[in-house]
Amino acid sequence: MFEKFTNLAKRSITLSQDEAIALGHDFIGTEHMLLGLVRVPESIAGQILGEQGVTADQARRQTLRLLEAAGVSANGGREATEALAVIGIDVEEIRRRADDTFGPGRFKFPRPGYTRRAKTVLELTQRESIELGHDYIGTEHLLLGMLAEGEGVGVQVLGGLGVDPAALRTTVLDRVRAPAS
Amino acid sequence: MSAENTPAVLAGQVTSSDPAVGLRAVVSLRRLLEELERLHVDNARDQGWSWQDIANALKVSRQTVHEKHAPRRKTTGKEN
Repeated sequence: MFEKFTNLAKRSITLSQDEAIALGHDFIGTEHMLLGLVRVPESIAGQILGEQGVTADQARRQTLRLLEAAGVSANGGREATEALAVIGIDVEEIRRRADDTFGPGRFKFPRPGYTRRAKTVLELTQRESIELGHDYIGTEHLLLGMLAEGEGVGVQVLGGLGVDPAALRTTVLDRVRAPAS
Repeated sequence: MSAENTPAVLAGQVTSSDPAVGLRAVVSLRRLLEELERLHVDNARDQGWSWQDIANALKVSRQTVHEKHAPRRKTTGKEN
């Protein structure tokens, strides 16, 4: 899936997982992918989002507002840990030992997985790259993929911050198609 | 171990007739299993194990383990 990703796109993907964990979510949604893009300001998507006035802080606040309103739990996957405690498995003990043996943070439980919508965005991201005739996948394609999917929380966050998705798509395409200067 | 958490009580919960309790435990176990597999496959590769060695130990085909773990290791720059 990520073989053709540029280093900046890979970094934004890694950051989206970090954002999900930091916000106490046990899934990676389009909202975390958006945060990942915003947090790589030197990338094309990060640059454009910055020009639109989107900051990581704002996007994070907007994300939490939307998810809280939707009743999404932000307890860091405590249910999963508790379900294992019920059958006598102490996740914290496993974490302590894994940190000792393999290094801090290598063991992540529950490791957030992509939501269905985020998976769709990743598929559309590949399609955007192909349609533009590119042989790599950059942050610009991720942003285009997210806008093409159009209904994820990521796009809602942008809308809440006053960014028009259709206009943003045009901006990204203009930037990508412009002859290199 | 608290009074509510004696082995007998735990055993009762594992075999609880409430589907929600049992299924929740199964899903969480699966996630734990996946995380432990990832950790130990990474450790084996870091220690120089071949994909075939790992496949044998996990009792799956080399293709299965390679398809599951090699892309991630490439993406994270741990392998070429």
